[in-house]
Amino acid sequence: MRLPEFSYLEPRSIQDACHLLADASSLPLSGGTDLLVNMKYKLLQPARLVDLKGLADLALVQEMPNGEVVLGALTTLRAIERSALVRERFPLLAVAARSVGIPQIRNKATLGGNICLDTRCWYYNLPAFSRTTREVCHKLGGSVCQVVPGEKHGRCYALFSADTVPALMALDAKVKIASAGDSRVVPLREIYSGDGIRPLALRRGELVAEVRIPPLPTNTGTSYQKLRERGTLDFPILGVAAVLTFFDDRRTCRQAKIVLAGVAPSPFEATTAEAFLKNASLTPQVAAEAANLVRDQIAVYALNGIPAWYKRSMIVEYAARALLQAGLAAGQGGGART
Amino acid sequence: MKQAFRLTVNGEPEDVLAAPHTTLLEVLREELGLTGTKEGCDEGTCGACTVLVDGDPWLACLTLVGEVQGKEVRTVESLAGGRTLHPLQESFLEHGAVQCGFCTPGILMTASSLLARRPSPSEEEVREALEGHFCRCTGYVKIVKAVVAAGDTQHEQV
Repeated sequence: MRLPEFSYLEPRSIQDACHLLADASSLPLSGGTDLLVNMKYKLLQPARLVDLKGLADLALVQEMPNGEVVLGALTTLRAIERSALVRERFPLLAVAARSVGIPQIRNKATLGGNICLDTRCWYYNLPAFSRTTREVCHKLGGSVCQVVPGEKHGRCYALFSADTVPALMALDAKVKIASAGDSRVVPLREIYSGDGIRPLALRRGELVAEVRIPPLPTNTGTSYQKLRERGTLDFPILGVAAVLTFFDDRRTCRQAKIVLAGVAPSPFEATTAEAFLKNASLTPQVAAEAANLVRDQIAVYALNGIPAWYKRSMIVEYAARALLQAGLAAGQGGGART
Repeated sequence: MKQAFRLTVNGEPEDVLAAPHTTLLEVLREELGLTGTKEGCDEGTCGACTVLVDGDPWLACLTLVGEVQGKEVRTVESLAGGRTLHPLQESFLEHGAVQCGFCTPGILMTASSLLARRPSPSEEEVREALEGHFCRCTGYVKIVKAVVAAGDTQHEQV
């Protein structure tokens, strides 16, 4: 499969990169492990690719004096997975990064690229030839939806499928958005539009420059649980990140963060279950009740070969696992903090 | 339009004239005649095109020619020294770890990167390192054994 033609640009400063990206026919290239596949499929045909890898400042992992950890957007997923700092401070992020693709992909794919990953749908992510048998869908500029036939409002149900994002959002991460003018720092959730067609709410000429994760409070445990078809390679059918902070008794939950991938066109915050868990004592029964609340908050559609009933039951199973694992990691029941 | 790219492949500088949408896999096979690296799925799922870039396994089918400027690319052709095979290649022969051979070059490259990092990997580590490679003859058991054995041999020699 040949790539469509484009010109290849290598800016040396963030300013130059943002300037080049302000052009509507440009796309940023980071690891390229998803973008180049989509380009081979002729889903995207940019006139110019702006390779960000010359921006050396964006590949750093740093701990700030206030305990915040800054991860440059160009940090590879392999570097995240192997970083002693990340494994010690935010173990679920290392687990999530490790669960992406295969080693060869993680050696090249970046954190910024995973954060900006396009939504996925098996009617969309097909080579050009295989798409010719069906009508053009909303995400490709057409007027039908293969997932919800009869969808009249142009809505796209393609799923948000990045593993690291539930982990980062559950950790309350912020992102620094660079542009040719000023840069801004916003909570990570704010860069997602909820629209399957254009999942990112970034403006033209903006790029995700770095991720900032605040230190975790004491008595906090984390977990990322991923469901996929095979033990490797696959995007998540479902990914559940949980970050639980307990009072000093290590039983009563002070704060809960539960964020999912694979259930909507953007990362999904399970706010009902989070509120239910606040001040609750975490037991297997309570975790199961909270997991039911996670399921009840999500409108699940049959998509990518996964029946809705199956995904609903797996949401319950994986949310409960994530909560109990996070509880164990926080030292509940005398377990070690991992 | 074609552009000049300066690459380093198997230790040799190579000046390549190629359009920027050319992949590293296309450059290796079609411009440099290094056909040891195979084109399998060409979309990043099978691992057949794996080469080393600065020592790490990358997929050549999802790498643009421009992305490896200033980096060191190694292909399966670099493993043997003249008529002397690399210990991994010897071990693959000895264990019958090659059937049709299409996945072999990619697996050898990933395995050589693993051995450089972990001279005597456990079977578990080998399985983890090779998880990005499909062998459609499903000869995985002998492949894993061959890599573990090559690690042991290498270790004895040190």
